[in-house]
Amino acid sequence: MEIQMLNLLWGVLLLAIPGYLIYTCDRLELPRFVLPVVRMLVQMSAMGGCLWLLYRYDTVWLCLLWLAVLVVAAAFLLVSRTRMPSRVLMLPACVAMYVSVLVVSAYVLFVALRPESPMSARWFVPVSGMLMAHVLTTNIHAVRTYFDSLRQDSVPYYTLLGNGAPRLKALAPYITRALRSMTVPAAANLSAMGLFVLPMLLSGLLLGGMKPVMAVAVMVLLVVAAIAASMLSLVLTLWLCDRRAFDKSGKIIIES
Amino acid sequence: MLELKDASLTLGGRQLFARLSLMAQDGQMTCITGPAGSGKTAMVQVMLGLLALDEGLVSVDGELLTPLSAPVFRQMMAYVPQRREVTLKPTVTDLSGLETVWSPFNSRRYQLTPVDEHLDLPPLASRPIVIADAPDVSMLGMLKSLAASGHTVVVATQDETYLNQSDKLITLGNYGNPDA
Repeated sequence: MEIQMLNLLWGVLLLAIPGYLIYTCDRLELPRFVLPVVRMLVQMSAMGGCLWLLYRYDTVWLCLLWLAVLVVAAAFLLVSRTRMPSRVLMLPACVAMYVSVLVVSAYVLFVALRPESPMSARWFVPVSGMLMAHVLTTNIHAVRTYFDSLRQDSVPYYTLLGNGAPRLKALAPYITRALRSMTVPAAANLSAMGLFVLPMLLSGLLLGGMKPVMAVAVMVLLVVAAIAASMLSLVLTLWLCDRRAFDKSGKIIIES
Repeated sequence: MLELKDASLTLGGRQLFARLSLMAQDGQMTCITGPAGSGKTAMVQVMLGLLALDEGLVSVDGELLTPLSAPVFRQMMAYVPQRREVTLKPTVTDLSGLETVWSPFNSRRYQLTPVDEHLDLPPLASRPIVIADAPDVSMLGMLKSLAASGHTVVVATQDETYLNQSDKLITLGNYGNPDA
């Protein structure tokens, strides 16, 4: 299916409806609406250019480089949203997200889906991109929960540590909290998925010409993979952060 | 026996104590006192191995307490924190489930000292060294009886009731000249 530029412009014109309504009802809010839209259009144009290059040259190394670029951008966002010092979180987040997305993508592509060329841009980019998006959104919340809990209430940690518990055990309440903050919304979304909302991914697969049953199967597989990648990434991030967030004695050295 | 030798500590640019030596002996209740901000809690953290000294050393029964050895020594210690109610539950279940905290790398079972008031006594008695940071006055009898039964009891407090009952008193606030 081909979309001509003019047709795309006609489509984008739909923005006139919300734009007009906001202009008439709440003129002060208009810049807040227009700026993100412009930002989205610029980002998507840049993304389109990158994807065109990826599909044009279609090599494994280019795909891995693409994932690395995505991961670095995501790590910057993670650091800023979690209000953590970048020296603590940046490198661990990059390594954790890269490893978890790569490992889970490879599993999905080589073990579950098994297309003809699993590492081609056609398969690798959408699968890893979808996992990356899920990992980022869930990890922002979970990492913030973990470090905020430690900063706000370190008494349980020091109490357990002071009474002879190993560090992992002393951190268990905080890890549990972080995992819970990730799983509860994910579980809530899962139960509603497909019933009241047709997810973007499913719409994309159907628009791409996939048979409905196959599209649902692929979507279920990718959703499960996204949850696995998110958990793996969170645990890796926290583990890799450990030396930077605590000193040799186990004292918390992170600041707001 | 818990010992500090020539201990100096600076926190946030402020020297809390310098060249301080003290010995908390078995069978005694040693109280550390001083005005707010004088370093009582920091001293407790030093004894637990959670805070490293700038100079000097900490030893337990003559063995040096270092960041590496501290986790082992802490298994000989019971620690009662300043604020004893715990808002974060240690496990997804409750305090009684402490022994089943998720721990993928270490399946050993550790005897912990729960911070709940009603669970205090048996675990505190099971450790030879008891360190309490600003404990409630209701714990005085229990801590005294632990000291009488041969435990090393260290209490950081400003409470006069504790100070009057202590076997040894260390006053912080005038660093370099602890009133021992």
